[in-house]
Parts: sequence; C-alpha cells; structure tokens
Amino acid sequence: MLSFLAERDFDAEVMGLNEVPMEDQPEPRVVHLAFQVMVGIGTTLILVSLWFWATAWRKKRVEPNVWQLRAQVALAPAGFIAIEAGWIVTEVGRQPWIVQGVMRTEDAVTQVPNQFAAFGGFTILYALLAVTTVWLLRLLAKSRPPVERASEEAPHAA
Amino acid sequence: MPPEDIVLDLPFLVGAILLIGIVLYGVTGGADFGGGIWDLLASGKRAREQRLEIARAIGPIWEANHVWLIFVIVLTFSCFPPVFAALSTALYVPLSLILAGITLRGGAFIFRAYAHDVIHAQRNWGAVFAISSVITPVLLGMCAGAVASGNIRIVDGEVTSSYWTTWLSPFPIVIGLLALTSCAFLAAVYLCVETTGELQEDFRKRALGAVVVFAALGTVALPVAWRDAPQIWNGMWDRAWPLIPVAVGLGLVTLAAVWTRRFKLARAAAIAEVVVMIGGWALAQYPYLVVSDLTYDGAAASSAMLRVNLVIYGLGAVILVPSLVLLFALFKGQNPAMTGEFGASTGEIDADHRPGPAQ
Repeated sequence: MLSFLAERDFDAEVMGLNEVPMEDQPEPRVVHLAFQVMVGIGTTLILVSLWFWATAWRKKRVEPNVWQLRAQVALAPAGFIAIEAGWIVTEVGRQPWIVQGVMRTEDAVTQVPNQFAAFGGFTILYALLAVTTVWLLRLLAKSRPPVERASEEAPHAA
Repeated sequence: MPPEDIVLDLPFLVGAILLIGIVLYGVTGGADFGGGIWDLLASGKRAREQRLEIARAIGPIWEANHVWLIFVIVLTFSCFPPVFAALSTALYVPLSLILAGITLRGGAFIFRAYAHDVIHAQRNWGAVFAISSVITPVLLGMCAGAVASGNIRIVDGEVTSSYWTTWLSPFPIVIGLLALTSCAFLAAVYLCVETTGELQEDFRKRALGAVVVFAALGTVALPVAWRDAPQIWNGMWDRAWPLIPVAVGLGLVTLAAVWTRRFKLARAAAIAEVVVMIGGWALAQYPYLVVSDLTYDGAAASSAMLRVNLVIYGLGAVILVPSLVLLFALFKGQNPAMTGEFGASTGEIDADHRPGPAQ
C-alpha cells in the first residue's frame, strides 16, 4: 500500500530514512509529531461527522444532542490546525532541500542582512491585524443579528 | 506542427504580457491608491461625502485590482527568475515596505467600515488607510525608477549595489512622485465619471489640479533622467521619442475634457496617458528588464517553461477576464447593493446611524 502511495507502483520498494545519508535527513521528531496531529485530527473529524449523521439517520431528522454541538464547537479550529500541521510535515520533511535534489535551503537564502528584524516586523504587523480582526468579530457578534433587524425594518420598507 | 520558418520570440512575447500586466495594475490598482490619496486630502464642507464616495467607488473592486500585481510578481518569478532574484534582493527594503503598506491599507479599509460610529478609535483606521495609500505608490514608483536608472548592478548573480542608494536617489524619487500623482490623477478623473452635482465639481477641481502637477513632474523628470538615468534618456531619444508628443497631447486632451466636463472622454484619455507613460518606459529601456545587467532575452527561463506559462495564462484569462468584466459591470454602475457606509454592505452596528427617509 505504502509502495503505491509513494511510488505509484505496488511492487516498488520504499526507502527507509536510515538509507538516506545523514546530511540529507530532515528532523524526524517534528515531522512525526506534525503528521500524527494531522492524521489524528482528520480521523476525529470523520468520526464526529459519522456520529452526527448516524444520530440523524436513527432519529429520522437532524437534531444533534448537546454533546454533539459541544464537540462541533470544540473542533471548530481543528481543521485549521490540521492544515498547519500538514504544512509542517511537507516543509520540514523536505529539509535540507528547498528544491528536492537541486538546491539546498541554505543556498537559497537571500544575501540581504538583518532578516530577523524583517521577520519580527512582519510578525508584529500580522499579530496586530489578527488581534484587531478577533476584536471586531466579537464586537459584531455581540451586536443585533441581521435577521432580527431585517424583520423590524420590513414595515418601514413597505 | 507550426512551419519552421516562423520563429516565435517566446521571451519577447512573455515580456509583452508582463508589460500588459504592469499597465493593467497601473490603471486599476493605481486608481485604488489614488482613492486613498483623495481620502487623505478630503476637504471642504463635503469632506465626509467625498470619503464615502471614494469608499463606495473602490469598495467592491480594490482587492480584484491587486490581482495584477500578483500576476506581475508570479510571471517575473517563473519566467524571468534572475530578474526576480535581483529585484527582491536589491529592492528588499522598499519591497518590504510596499508589502507592509498594501497589507495595512487593505486591513485598515475593511476595519474602518465597522463600528466607526460607535467606537471613536475605529476612525484612526481611516488615517492608516489614507497614509498607506500615499506611501505605497511612491515606493512602487521608486522601485520602477531604480530599475530604470541603472543603479542596480548584478555581478555573477549577486547584487553588488547598495540596499539604500539605488532607490533613495533623485531619479527614483521623482518617478515615485510621478507615480503618486498619476494615481491621484486617474482616481480623480474616474470619480468625476461616477459622481454627480457638487461632489462631481469637487472631484473635477481635484482632477484639474492633479493633471497640472502630473505634467509638471513629467517635465522635471526629463532633466533628472538626463543626469541620473543615461540609458533611459538615450533609449527614449533613440526609440521612444514619438511617444513624447503623444503623451503631451493626451495630457492636453484630458485637461480640456475635464475642463469642459466631458468626463468619459477624460477617463479614456487619462487611461491612454498612463498606458503611454508605462509603455514609453518599457520602450526606452528595451531590451533591458533591469538596466543594465539583465535583458529580457538573457534573463528568460527555458522555452519549455515559457510555453507552459503561456498556456496557463491563456487558460487563466478565460476565467479571469469574464469574471472581471462581470465584477465591473455589476459594481461600476449605480451600485445599489452598497448602502452601508465606508463600503460595509451589511453594517449592523451603524445601521441606526444611517441617514435615510425611514428615520
């Protein structure tokens, strides 16, 4: 099975990490943990969905119980975390290459100095935007829902 | 199989598409920046109405207009990789500032649309939007000026020029100011077409002022180019000189059309003016992409890569062009959907403060 996934051929031999020269190996602990997080979340999401539809099928209507609703709220950020974890798997997993077999990451880095200052600056900028977005979304969530307002405004519009 | 005697100059074709991308960004994205400039300069007793009109005009399209910047970046990255490497190194400082400016501008434009009537601090986002709308096009123009000036030097793939003086010198600065003015001039002319009554008169005055400043800066740029950008200067007199009377003529047509309130004609002439300006720049520095070390031919990726890219752009255009036509057709008319203030189509919080006959 793994042979097919990796090489598109059921008879292919999958090379183990130990066969890769030491200087061409990525950091295995990070990749391992990130991969587990990604697969774990994906499996959990599938199971919770199956639980939801099994209940709906049994009751003959969509009426989730309180634990199902709680599970859905708790899992709201899970999809994003799984995407990020998957990204870590590919990006850390391909190190030390930036283009596999062609160019190493250390050779691809820009010659411009003070990269930490630029990185810090952009991190602060995006943190500021993220905080503002969350604050504004909370503010909007606390205001009256548009459905309610639409029904109030309807007589005026007529 | 195409007959073998037809030699298709692939790098030239891709370079021409790159130029089209830059021109489209200039006439669409440029006007977005210009909207922000007039937001900053809003004045008189209708200052608030001016700001609301600017937000209404650019609200639905500003993000779509920046697709051309992304297009230009991706095309350079994939088809002219040495140019991308050289520019992202040599112009690292202004390009980082441009990225910050575009990010802040977009964020601020959205943020200020909400809760500005309830929470006073929200109004500060208006200032962030306006100020970043002024700084970003200046920096973009400075990068273009640096590319044309010959200040960027590349030896064996390594940039050897300074990270600062390449763009912080007279010629790039004049081009930066010229870019800023052309944004303001385009936006004012577009806004004349989209408004009526007193508001239209406000933008008409601004358009007239901007055309005059634009012409003055264009004139100043000539002696500075002679002194600081000799290759552009020579290229202009060798090849691009017929475009100079055309540019002057189009400027006069714009001025006369705005003066006599023929705003649709003015819009067409203003767009043509910017096309001629950017086209003239390209013609003057031909065959260089970065004066004077990288030519379009020498910096091009392999022809297999260029061919794949051409196919992708062809397919992409089939999706993108009708989408953009639909977007502009929907939102550049009377635009009834945008009733919220500052471009907020569903402003729940400020609903009670919205002026209208119902209250």
